[in-house]
Amino acid sequence: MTRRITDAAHLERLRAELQAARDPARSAIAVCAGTGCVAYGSRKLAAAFRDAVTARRVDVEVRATGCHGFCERGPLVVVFPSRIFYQRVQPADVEEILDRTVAKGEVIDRLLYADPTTGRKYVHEDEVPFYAHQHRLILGFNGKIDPESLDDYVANGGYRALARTLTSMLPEQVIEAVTKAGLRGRGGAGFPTGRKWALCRQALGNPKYVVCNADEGDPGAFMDRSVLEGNPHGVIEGMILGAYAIGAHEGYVYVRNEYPLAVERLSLAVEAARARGLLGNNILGRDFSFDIQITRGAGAFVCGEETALIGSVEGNRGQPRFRPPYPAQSGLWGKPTVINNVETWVNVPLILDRGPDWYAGIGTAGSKGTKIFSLVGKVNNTGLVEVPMGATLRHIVFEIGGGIRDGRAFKAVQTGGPSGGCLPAEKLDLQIDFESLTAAGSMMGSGGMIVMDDRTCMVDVARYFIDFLLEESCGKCVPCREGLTQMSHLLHAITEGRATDETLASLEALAPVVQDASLCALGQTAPNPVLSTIKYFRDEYLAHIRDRRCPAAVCKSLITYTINDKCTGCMVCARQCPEHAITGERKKLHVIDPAKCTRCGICHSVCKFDAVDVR
Amino acid sequence: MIVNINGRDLLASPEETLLQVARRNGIPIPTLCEHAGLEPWGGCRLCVVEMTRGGTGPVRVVPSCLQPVEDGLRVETHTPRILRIRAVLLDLLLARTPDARRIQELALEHGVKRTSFVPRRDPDKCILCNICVRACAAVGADALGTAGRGAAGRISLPFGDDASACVGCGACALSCPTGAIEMTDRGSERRIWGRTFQRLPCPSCGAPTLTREHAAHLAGRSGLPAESFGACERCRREQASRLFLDLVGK
Repeated sequence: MTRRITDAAHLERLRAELQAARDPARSAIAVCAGTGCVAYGSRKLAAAFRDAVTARRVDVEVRATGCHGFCERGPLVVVFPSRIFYQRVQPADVEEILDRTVAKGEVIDRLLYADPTTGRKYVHEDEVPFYAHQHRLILGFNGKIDPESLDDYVANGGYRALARTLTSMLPEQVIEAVTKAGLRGRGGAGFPTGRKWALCRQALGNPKYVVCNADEGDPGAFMDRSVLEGNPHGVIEGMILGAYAIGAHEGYVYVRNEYPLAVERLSLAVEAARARGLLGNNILGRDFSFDIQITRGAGAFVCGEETALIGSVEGNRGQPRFRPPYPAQSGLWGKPTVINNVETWVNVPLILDRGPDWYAGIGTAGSKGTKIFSLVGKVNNTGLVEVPMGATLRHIVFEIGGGIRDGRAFKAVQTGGPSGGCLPAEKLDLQIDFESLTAAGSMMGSGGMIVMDDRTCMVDVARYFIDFLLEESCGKCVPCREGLTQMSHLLHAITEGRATDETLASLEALAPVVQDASLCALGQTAPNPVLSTIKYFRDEYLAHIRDRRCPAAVCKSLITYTINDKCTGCMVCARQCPEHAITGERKKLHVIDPAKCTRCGICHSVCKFDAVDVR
Repeated sequence: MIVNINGRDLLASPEETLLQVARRNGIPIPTLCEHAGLEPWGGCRLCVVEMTRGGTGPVRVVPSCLQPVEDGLRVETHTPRILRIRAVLLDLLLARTPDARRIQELALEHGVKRTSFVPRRDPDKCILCNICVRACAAVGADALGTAGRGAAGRISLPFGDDASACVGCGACALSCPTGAIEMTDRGSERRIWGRTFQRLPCPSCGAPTLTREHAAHLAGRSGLPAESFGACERCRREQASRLFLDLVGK
């Protein structure tokens, strides 16, 4: 079972055997085992399927797969060979699925996905609008393979690129192919990967290292986690190829400890690859050796910055340093080092498997391939979305995301993580790539995408992100540490109704200094959420400052709750109010005492008669 | 190689930084976290300058203390944008450490009389420039570090109060640009970081010199006997000049 794969021909024989042993007509149940579905109870569900299959002594394979991306509707189940797609499946549904769908091929209507706006139901995963509009080059593997099985990866074409590359390409040719494909770093800056590798290969110094940056820390973003959990061998294969290209024999994956499932699956995958001779000495019988170590990070956002990451791997405080020298010249332990993030690495086997021309055919002139976005916030379909570079925001938010939740109006979308900018409705037709997002005052970042509706206060959003970045600032340089401290004070003054026109002027004067003078990308991009919201939603700032009013009715210091004459005197709000601020007799109009009210909003959310106004 | 700073073509050697070239040519650039005996750190950002590659590239703001020279660089050290950055940085630092003399002086030089920002509550004089930590590491004691995260960071002994690694050399206090570290010498007694050290008498004149722990530390690092480090600075100079005169035969 764990026999070493001796050479490329052996790998192909193994693949052929594995594929031949797979009967495409065999019944199988794929249960999503990504973190989202696990949280919804998919482990229990998979166990229930296994127990039921064993009890019935039927020939049905139960497979736990990586994240399918549609986390919103978990736990997700796909039944093969019919490919019938069920969502929100519970252990109580197991018997029925086996009885009807597996045995008779019937569709259980209740478990199908129904579009929240049209009500239409879909039988197959790839017909669901959330998936139908995507281009799942990377994420496609997640739903197909068992991330804990190297054989499963091999059966699906895994390590084919590695075998072919080691037997037929020189390291320089690998770099050439990656350059020709136009792959750019998915971690945020979009630096051309091939150029980075070439610089590192040419750099003097030995040994050289490759590092996988899996320190994904943006609030609401989980692209890299999902890839590591769902396709760890894809990342490993990418790293081996990169190591071969630059001449490295050691690699590190820096992954945050808050991703226990990713750490677990990656560790299993590294061990399996080692046992089969895909990591270690003389990989596939060639004169090339490489191994991977896993370093767990403690969860500091700034450790995603490459120089801080290197410091952290070395055991130092995670603080960025000035570049040059770039890690490609002097990185880990002062040696030439290539650092790419998870998504960049997992693209590499695809490029070498299917060729740089094929890859360069996807995307825009300057940004090639696909990009995974973590689509969250006030959209109907939250989850992971993979689209070709150049897709529009409208396509992602409305066609894939299914539009805004509860029929509300779209207000803004923040791209690029906490230090990305908020783009308004007039930017919805922007074709997103690295350059267009930066030009619009935001950025690609690692692919976070937070959708906001008309009940979102943009000043409050800016305050939230500045407070997040202040909390995560490493404190090394003055503009970031002290500048964000003061930007936070200024934004709090605005949201708390203590601001004047001068407050806004001060904010606008301080922001460019923080951008210009900060040491690393965290500080340099930190003012984005403030500047973009001032640019696109200046009226909202002015309403807070001049009228002491929060138009979205979010900022607690500026809103009041009152009860209108729709009140039936049902007393629900009065009972729920934690401050006992609501008085009134049964079946008579209730009143809120503004002096006691803490503006928690509970009355508003519990009222069934729309009788609580907030303004 | 040649770099152009403020319109002057200046000769530079490849291992130099922009700050070094500027200083060597009498061009003043303010700094706070820079120290002649330590590697550049790039934290205070006061030394930022505008830099253009090849005359036509985009104008970039870089810290001159860390930016290596390149042939054909064009650098401006006192543009309105740079002066504005320095003034805002000093305004920010003044809000952090309103009582630090050096910050007050530098701020005033940049036209900032009082801070326009919200002053820090219970301020001390520390600007987190890390010179003390780096000096302590250079001495080889490594008794200091930064505790806490980001804006809440503070210079600290291990666990807040473990001064056992401190040798009482005083490098931290002497190199601190804002006088944030308290050190008192009274007779042969030195108090620093909550610990009291005895300073050894100079074998020639009896004046208190370095602490017993510092002498032992230097002896340990150099392999020389502790007595080699005992002389006070004045006597050491006298001994050296006597030695020199002996050598030249006077």
